[in-house]
Amino acid sequence: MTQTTQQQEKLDVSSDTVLDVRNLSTQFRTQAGVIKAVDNVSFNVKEGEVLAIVGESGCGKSVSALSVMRLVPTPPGEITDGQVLFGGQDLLQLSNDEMRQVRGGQIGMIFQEPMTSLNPVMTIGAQIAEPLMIHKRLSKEVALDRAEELLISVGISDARLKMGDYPHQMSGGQRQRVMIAIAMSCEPKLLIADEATTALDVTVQAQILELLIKVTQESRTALIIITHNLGIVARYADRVNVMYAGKLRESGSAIDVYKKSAHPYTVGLLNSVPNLMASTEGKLDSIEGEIPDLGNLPSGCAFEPRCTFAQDRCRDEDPLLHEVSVEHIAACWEAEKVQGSK
Amino acid sequence: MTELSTSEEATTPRASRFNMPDWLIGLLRHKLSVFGLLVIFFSTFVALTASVIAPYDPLQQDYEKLLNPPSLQHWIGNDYLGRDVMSRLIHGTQISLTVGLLSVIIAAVIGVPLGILAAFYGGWIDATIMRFIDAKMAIPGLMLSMLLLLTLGGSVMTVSFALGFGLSSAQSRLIRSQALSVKEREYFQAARAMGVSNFKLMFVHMLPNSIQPVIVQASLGVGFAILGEAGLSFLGLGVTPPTPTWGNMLSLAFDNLRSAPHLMYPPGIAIVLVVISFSFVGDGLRDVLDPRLRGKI
Amino acid sequence: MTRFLLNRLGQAIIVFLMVSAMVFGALRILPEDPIYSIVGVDSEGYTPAQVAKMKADYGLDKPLPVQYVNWLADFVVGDWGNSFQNGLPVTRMIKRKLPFTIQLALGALVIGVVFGISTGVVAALKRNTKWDAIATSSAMVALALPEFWLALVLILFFSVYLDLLPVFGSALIWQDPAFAIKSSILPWVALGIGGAATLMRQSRSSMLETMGEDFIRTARSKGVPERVVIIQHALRNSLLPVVTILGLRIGRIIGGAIIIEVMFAIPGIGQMSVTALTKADYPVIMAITMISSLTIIIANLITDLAYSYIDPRIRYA
Repeated sequence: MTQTTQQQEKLDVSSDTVLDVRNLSTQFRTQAGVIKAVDNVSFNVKEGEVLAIVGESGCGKSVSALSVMRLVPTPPGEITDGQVLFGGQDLLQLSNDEMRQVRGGQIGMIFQEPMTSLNPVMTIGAQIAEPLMIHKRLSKEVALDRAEELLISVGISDARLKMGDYPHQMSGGQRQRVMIAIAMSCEPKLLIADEATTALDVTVQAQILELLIKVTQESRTALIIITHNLGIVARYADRVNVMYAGKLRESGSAIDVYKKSAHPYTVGLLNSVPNLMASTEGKLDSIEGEIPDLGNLPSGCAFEPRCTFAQDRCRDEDPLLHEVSVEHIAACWEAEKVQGSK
Repeated sequence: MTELSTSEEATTPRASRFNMPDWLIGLLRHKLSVFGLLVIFFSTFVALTASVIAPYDPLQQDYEKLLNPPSLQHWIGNDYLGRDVMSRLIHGTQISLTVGLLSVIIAAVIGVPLGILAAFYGGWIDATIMRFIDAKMAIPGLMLSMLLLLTLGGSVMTVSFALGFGLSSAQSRLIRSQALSVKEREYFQAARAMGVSNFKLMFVHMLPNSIQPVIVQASLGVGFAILGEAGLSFLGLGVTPPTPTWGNMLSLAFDNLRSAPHLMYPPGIAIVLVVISFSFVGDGLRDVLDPRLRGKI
Repeated sequence: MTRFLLNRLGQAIIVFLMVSAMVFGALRILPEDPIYSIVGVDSEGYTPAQVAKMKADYGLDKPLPVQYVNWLADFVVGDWGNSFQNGLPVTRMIKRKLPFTIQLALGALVIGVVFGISTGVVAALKRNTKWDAIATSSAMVALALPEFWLALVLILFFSVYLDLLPVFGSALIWQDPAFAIKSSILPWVALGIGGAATLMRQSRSSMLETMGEDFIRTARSKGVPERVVIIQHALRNSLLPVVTILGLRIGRIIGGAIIIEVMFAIPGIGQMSVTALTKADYPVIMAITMISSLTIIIANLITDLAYSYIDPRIRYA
């Protein structure tokens, strides 16, 4: 990862790009061999933009986010290549201390399991105040006051009372709101929500999603929503990235990806989302087959075994990302045919 | 991939007809457990053949060789009465292993039914049994044994009973908590709904499914029992002298510490080796019996 | 919370009563009359009338349950009878000897806690490095060691070979601090190592489990410095289960103290119990067993209550 001249050149990104991930690769060493969880993935997010990264479990979307934050557990995991440009720096080149300041201070992250993501023996107020004291150097009293304001802003009633509560006294939805408050406390430029609604009740999911959008739009914070559920982001995402088996397969505006999908996997995902309006006759569509073993990927397109558009070429050559139309890329030899089929 | 393995199977002749059971394979993969097992087998062998392999009579005194250091005729030397230390060590193995095994059996016999009864009936029966176990655990182990031995006198049986009585508390608690989770399982509730008798429910359904941690604990328990017996005979309270036990050998070594320090190593090392071996085997058993790990082995 | 408190207190009382019954019962399993431990097996030198009178004096002529209740009632108000050996009030004897045992037990407990928890935490943080391997294997060996053998080894090296520390004799720390410490180091270490090993294993596994929890990842994602993550987030959670172990440790320490006191000639109640046992001095034995058990019951009660106070999930259930 030599940086000098390359870095000078490529730091010329468009001025409102908040995060620019280039050729990110992350792998894990396991007893079963080396697993390429993220393989040469590139994407970016602009200020105030909502980017959705979608794909099945194990496709590498969470690991990409953890790699950006450098939270990948490092004995088995390792970021092997790429650049993560943020705030004029390559995050992968920063020292641990410098990265620590970015985490929480400039990039916020919320996770999937609200039941276990909060410290059981610390009060809610203290946990929200903590990053404020670390990054904004607020005194304890000021931080706690600010924490209370944040609690109100995420929709927790009786904020004052709840400040002294412990996580187990709150419901899953409330805890997730607290997580949002924590992640947004230092006014980060980017918020990453990794499957933030997956573990919640369906009714609460919509509320939390709305809250996320509201809070990030108000402060023009870029938002990355990671999910396996295409349905929930349809309304909110500006751009959508589709990942499969560690690689980016399609990326474009939400409209392009939804209405003019250029990758068979995207088509499959969209077809398998239950439609409330559709008739309940017949089976729910699903994509046949299973996700491949990441330690044992074929040399051709990894989706080929499950693909209805597959040709002989797909088995031998792994398709590269190419432009299908303006700002819409896909990695498929049959992209035009896929688009035409809708 | 699947085609390949069946053709291999068909063409490769089987080396032997002996198929090792899964748990044994898992156990053998644990190098420490193997070491432990070897030590245990060796000591059992020594214990069983003690009278045959001991070079001298352990009680035979020889006033000309008092407190001799190791020599060619007496590989570990002689104690304060001239007795051959190695023979005493060998015979002591008998006592230690017997007490160890008996104690654990008694602990299981006392502890397991109590635990199952408590789990099955619940309510005040459970509460009473649990308080009883708490009471047993509130008396320091050594003191409890001392009390019982005062009234019952010191012999292999009474020592085993005293130690087993103390060890049973852990067994009871373990099997009770396992049995409680079995109670929640559907197969148990189904059997109950079908009108299976209480006795059968407890001993045919609950017990076999809760027994695993008890087995692990039992293995560790042998170690504890051996330590306990050593402690008791060290204080002169266990098996009556002049029968050699590792504990009273250590007591004599203590008395002669300045003049014959070599006496304290053989019994001490023997105790540590055997106890740690049971500990290794216990750990190995735990890994093997843990259903979550079974698939991976 | 108060309901929990009262509940636990009630349990403790029931356990105490059961212990008393067990202690009393243990000494009366056999049908032999305890009077013979005073007058000797053939009651030589005593006429039958004298024996009968002595029986009445000691209350040994009443039915067993009555004897039990009487004894228990006396015990609770502090009348622990007189020793069969020397006729002195048991309370006085115990009062003289108890401080030595307390000194020994506390020292051992402190060593166990300090060494055990610190090594355990460090071993967890440096998991799978050689430090961890050393610590874990040392703990395994330490748990297999009989305390008295460890004491023997220590005595051999530090007293016999190096002649640094005394073996016999002991002093109370507020009477003669220098000698007290010198004479207590070996007993403290011998008694405390077992506890250190147990606590080390427990805190190591507890710490490892905690470090793998989701909220640690959250703390890191907030940019919390690693040191704070370990202390504020991990330790505070992982040490909770260790607290419950402390109560059990006290029981083991009291048991081990008996042998250690005998070996190092420390005039504590452990040593007293062994002498009493060999002389069948029932009142002494029963009193010592009762207070030991009481100590353990109270210790467990305190640790339970402390745990429920420290863990907010229980305090604000």
